[in-house]
Amino acid sequence: MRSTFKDRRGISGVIAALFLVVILFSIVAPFMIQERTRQGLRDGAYRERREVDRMQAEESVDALAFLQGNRIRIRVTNTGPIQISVVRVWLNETILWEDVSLGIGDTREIETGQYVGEGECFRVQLTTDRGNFIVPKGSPVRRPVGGGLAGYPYALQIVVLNLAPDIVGSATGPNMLNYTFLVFRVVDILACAPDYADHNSGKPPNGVQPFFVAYALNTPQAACGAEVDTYVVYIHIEGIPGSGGKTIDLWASKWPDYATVSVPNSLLLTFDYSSGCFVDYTKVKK
Amino acid sequence: MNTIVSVVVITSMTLALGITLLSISNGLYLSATQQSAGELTGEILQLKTKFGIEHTFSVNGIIEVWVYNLGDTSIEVIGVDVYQIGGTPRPPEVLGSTSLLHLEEGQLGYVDVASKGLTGRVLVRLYAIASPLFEEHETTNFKYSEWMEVAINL
Repeated sequence: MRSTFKDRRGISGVIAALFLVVILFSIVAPFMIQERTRQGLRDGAYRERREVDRMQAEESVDALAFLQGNRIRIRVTNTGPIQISVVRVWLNETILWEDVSLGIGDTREIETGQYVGEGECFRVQLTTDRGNFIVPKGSPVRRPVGGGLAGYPYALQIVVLNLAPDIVGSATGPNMLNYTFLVFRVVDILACAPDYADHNSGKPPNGVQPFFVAYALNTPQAACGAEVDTYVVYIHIEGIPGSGGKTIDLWASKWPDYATVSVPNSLLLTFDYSSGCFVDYTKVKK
Repeated sequence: MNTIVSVVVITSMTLALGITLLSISNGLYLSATQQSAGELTGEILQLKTKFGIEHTFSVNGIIEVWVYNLGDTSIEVIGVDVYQIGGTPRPPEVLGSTSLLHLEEGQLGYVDVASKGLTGRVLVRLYAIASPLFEEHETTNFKYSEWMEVAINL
């Protein structure tokens, strides 16, 4: 009996130590497990958000709004690496609900049915389901008084692409842009100079308008008094990009074609009158 | 006999100490869990909050701001402020503590805001918060709100 008790000496210490270990473990373990779980949930939410933002940023669309039969049509091309869906079209303050899906490289035309009267002007904007707001080239669509676009088949429209959609600050969005536009000048028109070299220089309306018709050309053949097959327009553009961007892209368009120039830069546009098409352009580095 | 007593006493003391420590740690754990669960929910819902100002226009001194809810949660628009460029926007706590607009996921809606007589180029800032974090007349969770801003010409 005595020897049995002797053998068990020190057991209480071991039991106590074991209890202590269990106690310490039971104190620390829940905190660790909880922290791990919390971090996992937080990481998961971050990952999901990053993925949503990435998909939104990957969307790339080339869109053009134009008049056909005095009604607005929009040509949309998916230039990005993922499928997109256009869910809404804005025409000034009116919403058209659409469901236009475009696979990679697809081009579709949206017939808005919107009639544009003489002198009327419509700002056009597209919304994708991932929340990109796209202002097509050619917006705002205008129909000048007196003959409509048919009267000005070679109107030069300047579109400051990366001003749209006017977002200058956002907590989460990608479009950070502040912008000052100083000078726009159509310096010279080389062909038919006597009739057209009136140096239509100046600032765009209000100085910060992203869209404006810079120059409207009426039937140049008649104005020259002779047949002209090609016609060259020289444009010089200057501007000061704001803090949001290093360059401002400008589009000089002879509807429905266009070219691009960065600022400051110059551009030569060649119009082929025989086919009525824009055929070429040359960038002239300053 | 003495050994048995001492074993029983030490074991009892250890158990008592252990149970006490366990109770304290459980209490702390529960308290910390409740507090951090609220913070975690706030952070996760803030990450799920995503919206865009799709369109704005002004009619007779009233600016219509169209909002597209792009996030994984319904949202409440809790404040809209109009201010001159270079000015300071007011925080949502100052603008009020009621919901101006409720938007489900993927929904589009608009809020009206007075232009306050401002002219020229102004900024419109809109604050929104995940609906589960919103309580009427309570601004504690506004720290989890998100904002977006657009410039418009008046």
